This record gives sequence, C-alpha cells and structure tokens, in this order.
Amino acid sequence: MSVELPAVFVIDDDPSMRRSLDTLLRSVALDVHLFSSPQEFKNARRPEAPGCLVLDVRLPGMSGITFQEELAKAGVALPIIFISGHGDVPMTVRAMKAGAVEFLTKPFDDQVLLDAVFAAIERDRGRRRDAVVLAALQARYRELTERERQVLQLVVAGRANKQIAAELLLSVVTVKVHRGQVMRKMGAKSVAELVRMADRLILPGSA
Amino acid sequence: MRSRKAYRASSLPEVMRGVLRRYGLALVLAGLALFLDGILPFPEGVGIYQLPIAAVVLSAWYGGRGPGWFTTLVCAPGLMYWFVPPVNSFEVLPHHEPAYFIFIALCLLVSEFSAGRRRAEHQTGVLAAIVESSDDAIISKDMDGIITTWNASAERMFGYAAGEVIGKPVKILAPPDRVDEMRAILERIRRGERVDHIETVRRRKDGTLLDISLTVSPIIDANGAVVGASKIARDISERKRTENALRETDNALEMARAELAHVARVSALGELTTSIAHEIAQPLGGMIASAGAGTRWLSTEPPDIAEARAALANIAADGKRARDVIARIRALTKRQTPRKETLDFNHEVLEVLALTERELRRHDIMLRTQLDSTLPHLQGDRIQLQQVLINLILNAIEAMSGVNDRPRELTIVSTQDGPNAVWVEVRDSGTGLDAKSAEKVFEAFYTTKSNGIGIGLSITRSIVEAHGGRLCVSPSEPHGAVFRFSLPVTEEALS
Repeated sequence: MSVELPAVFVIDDDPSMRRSLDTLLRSVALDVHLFSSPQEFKNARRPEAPGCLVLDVRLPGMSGITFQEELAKAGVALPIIFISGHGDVPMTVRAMKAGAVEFLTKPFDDQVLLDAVFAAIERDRGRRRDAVVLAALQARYRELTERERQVLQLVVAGRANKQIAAELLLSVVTVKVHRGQVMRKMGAKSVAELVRMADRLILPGSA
Repeated sequence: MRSRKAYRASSLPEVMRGVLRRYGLALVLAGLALFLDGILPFPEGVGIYQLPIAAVVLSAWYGGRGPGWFTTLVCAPGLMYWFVPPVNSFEVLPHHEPAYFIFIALCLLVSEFSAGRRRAEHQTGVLAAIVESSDDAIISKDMDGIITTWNASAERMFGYAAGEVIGKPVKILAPPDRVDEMRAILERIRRGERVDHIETVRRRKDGTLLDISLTVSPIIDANGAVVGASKIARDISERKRTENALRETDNALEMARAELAHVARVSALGELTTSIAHEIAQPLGGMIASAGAGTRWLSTEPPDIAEARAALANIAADGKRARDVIARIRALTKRQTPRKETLDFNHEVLEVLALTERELRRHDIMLRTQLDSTLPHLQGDRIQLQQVLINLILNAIEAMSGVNDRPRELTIVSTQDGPNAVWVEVRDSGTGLDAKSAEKVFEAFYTTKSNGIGIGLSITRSIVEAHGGRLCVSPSEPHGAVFRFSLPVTEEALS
C-alpha cells in the first residue's frame, strides 16, 4: 500500500472558497490541490495517491455534471463530492446516479465535508486495492495457454475432469495436468478460490 | 400695390375723404385769402402777400406739403391777376417781380417746413400710441427716480392711474426687499448701461406682488447726458405659474417613475433570489470551513498559530464579502428619489455582475465582458443605472432559456461614443426578436414571458431617457438580440 498522503483535488472558481477549503483540508493532514477550472485540473499532473475530487456543480464554462461524465469517459475514477447552491435538486439526482459520493449544499458544515472527504478517500483506497489485485489476476490469466483457459472455464463452470476430457476430446490425464498448471499459474489453493478469481475477471461462463 | 392696400388701416373711400378734406381746406383758405385781400384796405406794396402766406402756412400745417403747394398754386395766379400791378392782367410789372417771386419761394419753403413739422408730430403721435397701446408697462423716470410717464399697461399692471404716480418716486413699486435692487439698477443707468430682461418682483397698488421681466435703458438727451430711464416691464406671473405647475407635474411624474422603478427593481431581485442566496451562502460556507480549520490548527500539538491566523483572516474576508452582497441588495431595494452622482459605468457593470453572475451560470450562460477602461465618468443615478443592466441581463437570460442547440452567450460591452457619450451593449444568443416585437418590447405591459408583467424594458428605457440617453434593440448575428444604450457625459462629470 502507498504511504503517500491522501490527495484532495478542489475545483472551484471562487478564490476565497478555495482558500477556505485549502486550510480546512490541510488542517486534517490531507494533500490539497487547488484548481480554478476543470481545464486546469485536466492539464495538471496529479499524484497517484488515493484521493477524491471536491467540485462545485456550477463551474465556469462547464457544468460539474458534464465534467463528471467527461472524467468517467477518460477513465479517471476519482470519487467526486459535489458542492452546490440550493435549488439544484434535478442536478443532484443526476450526479448521484452518475456515481457522486456526496452532494453538499452550501453553506455546509465543515465536519460534514471532512466526513464525506474521508469516506471518499476510503472508497478510492478500496478501489485502488481492488485494482491492484485485479491487475495481478489479469497478469496471471494472460500467462495461461489457450488450452489452459478452456480448462479453467470448464472447471469454474463446475464440470468434472471426465466431462472436461469428453468435451475437449482429451484424455483425463491430460486434463488433470492442465488443471494442475492452471491452479499453479493462477495461484489458487482451491477450486472455490479459482471460481472467485474467475468471477473478478468476469470470464464467460463463470456466472 | 395689392399688398400695400391690404396693410392700409382705413378703406379707400375714407382715404379719399381725407384727401378731399385737406385739399378742400387748402382751396377754401386760398379763396378766403384772395377774397379778404380784395375787400380789405391793404396798403399798396407787399401787404397783399400776408394773407396768402398765412393760408399756405395753415393748409401745409393741416394737410402737409401737397395742400401747401396747392394753396400756393391757387394764390399765385390770383394775386398776379387781381392784385399785382398791372391789375386784371396776368402780367407783372418789372419792379414788382422780386416781391412776387420771393412770395412764391416763401410759400414753397413754408409748405416744406410745416409739412416736416407735421410729420414729426405725427411720428411722435404714433410712438405715443405705440407706447400707450403696448402690452408691456412702459414707464420713464428721471435721475432722481421720479416717475415721469406712465402708460395704460402700467396702469393695468400696477393698479395706479397715471395721475396718481407721475411725480412720485418709483420706489413705491418696489417691495421692501427689492429697494436695493432698484438702487443698483439706477446706478447702472447713471453709468449709461442698460439692464436687460432681469426677472424680478414688484408691488401693485393693492400690495400684491407681481413677477415681471424688466428692461431698463438710459434716456440720453441731445448733449449725451443721461437724463432719465425708461423701464419696460412685462407681466410674467402667468408664465411663472405655468412654470411652477410644470415643475410640480414633473416632480410628481419623477416620483411616480421612481416608485414604479422601485417596484420593478424589487421584482427583478425576486427573479435573482436563488443566485443571491448563493452569493450569501458562498461566503458563509467559506466562514464555516475556515472556522473549523482554525479550531483544528489550534488543537494540533504544538498549535499552528500562523495557519490559525490565516484562517481567521479568511473568515474576516468572507464576512466582508457577505456584507457587501447585502449592501448591494439593500441599495437596490431602497426606495429613494433619483439622485445624480458622478460614476464610473464599468464599476456599475461589475457590481451588477456580482449579483447576476451566478444566475448566468445557473442557466449555463457564458459571460463575456469588454469594458473600456478609459471610459469617461458620467452623471447619473447609480441604482437606476444598475437596474437598467439587471433588467437587460434578466431579459437576455430569459431569451436564452430555450436555446439548447448552440452556446448561450451574453456579451457586455462598454465603450466611448464620441467624446460626450458612453455606449453600452448587452448582446445575447437567444431567440431574438422579429421586427414587430422589436417595436413593442419597450411598451409597458407587453411581455412574452409567462410570469412577467412587462414593465421591465419599458422602465429600462424610461430610466435611460431620463438620463438623457436612448435605448434601442436590434437583431444580433447570427442569433439573438442586442440592446444598446448611450448615456451622455455631462460637463460636470468631465471635470
């Protein structure tokens, strides 16, 4: 796990709001990055630490929701905390559906914001951990041969060795060898674990 | 000829009668002179000429040059035939010739002089008639301020008959507080200066006061000395009354306009409630966040005083910001009579944008401003001019609310329009106006909004016009409308 400070990215065009959020977030030992526009955020180099995005729903030149969609398309998975003025209910609904963590109405309580930020960071941390695990699995999966992948799929589908041999027109011994290879390469200690791995890889037939 | 006839006061028969009377008298006088010469025992010699000369003098005096000559024409041959030797013949003995010719010359001369005198008297009479019939009071006074003449209008205006005031000091016409003014006027007259059309107050016989316009000129005699003054006074009380009435109407109108503008302003602010609430919530949120941060900075071990201080500074800044927002709104909702002050229009634009920018963003409208930093200052009512901008901005927001296929853009431009005016443009990319509604948008109670009462733009125009400017609207290319108004830069604002 990374030992870096969690990073919070604040995008708000109001300088005094940025200053307030800056001192508040720094006072709880967060690494704060301030941006006055989405464009500025996109152009900046960001640390690869767990973190979240704090954003005003009404950004100059672009609505926060549009920006949220853009980020999703670009594969930026940072959790987003929206800050809004009141009277933006439809927008709140849209933002939450699109995966916003929290939607705060100004003037919000400082503790509420901090709680939301920590929750978001925790979520990001979990997501990152999952991503690391998944990446490792994917790397292992890529090492399997074509035949081993076929065997893997049938094993997680719950077939016995005999059935697999019949289906793939192999001898039972050969199936056993492939199966042993799969278990070894994937680092699975049991069939149950292998099933869970396949689940995460979202392989066809694993359902 | 025709036009001359038209100007004649009397009809043709009357003129003919006048001619007949003058020449008839001339003929009668000539006949009478010759007849008396015949029956009266005049001594021989020049005595016979006395009566004809008298006849010529009388007819010329009465009838002018023509009748004088006519009498001469009748008397000369008559004398020659009956009285100048040789008698009863149209001949003159040589030693009588000088006397005879001197007689004719004298007659012509006398006719001429009498006629001149008559003309002068006639002219004086005309002038007197003009003075007498004038609508203005015409009074003359001598250098001691004693009234010497007094015309009919003076009688009518001041209530004194001529007989009552001639010989009295002119001071009786001055109310007590104007005696000094009268003295000053007399002083200027003494120096030969003229006092032109001053507006002042005089007192009537019954003690009531009278507004007059007064012109006083020195009367200068043949030697060039100032011997008196002529005063022409015009009664302007009617005009003053009208002016006062007009001013009162104007004031009432101005008050009504201010009242209506106030209502419209409050209603416009109503449309901005959401954005204004945000403008307050923004600094409040900042204050809460900074206060929380400050507390945490002080709770660390050791406390971070510098950070805590910075957080406090943030709180103060946000507090001031919220206060400014409230001050802006309070100013706009205040009911006040319009007042002129020197102002920088760009500053007013920024003030209004501080209240409306959020509203623009709420409607996904891009704001562009091009404010000319060299804009001259102008004179105007700050609040009403802000209202003009708010109305135009709200109007633009409304016009763009249905636009989804192109960017919503609002452009505000301020620039100089010649040396004496400021030019402002508010341009939107909304639905625009067709020629028909372009004429109508400024009419009161014309509206295309479902919830509007249609006084916004009409008030906007009346405010601009009350500032001596004009407001018009035209289509913007390729979409939308552009409202333009100019405001004059007054001399006082320039300095």
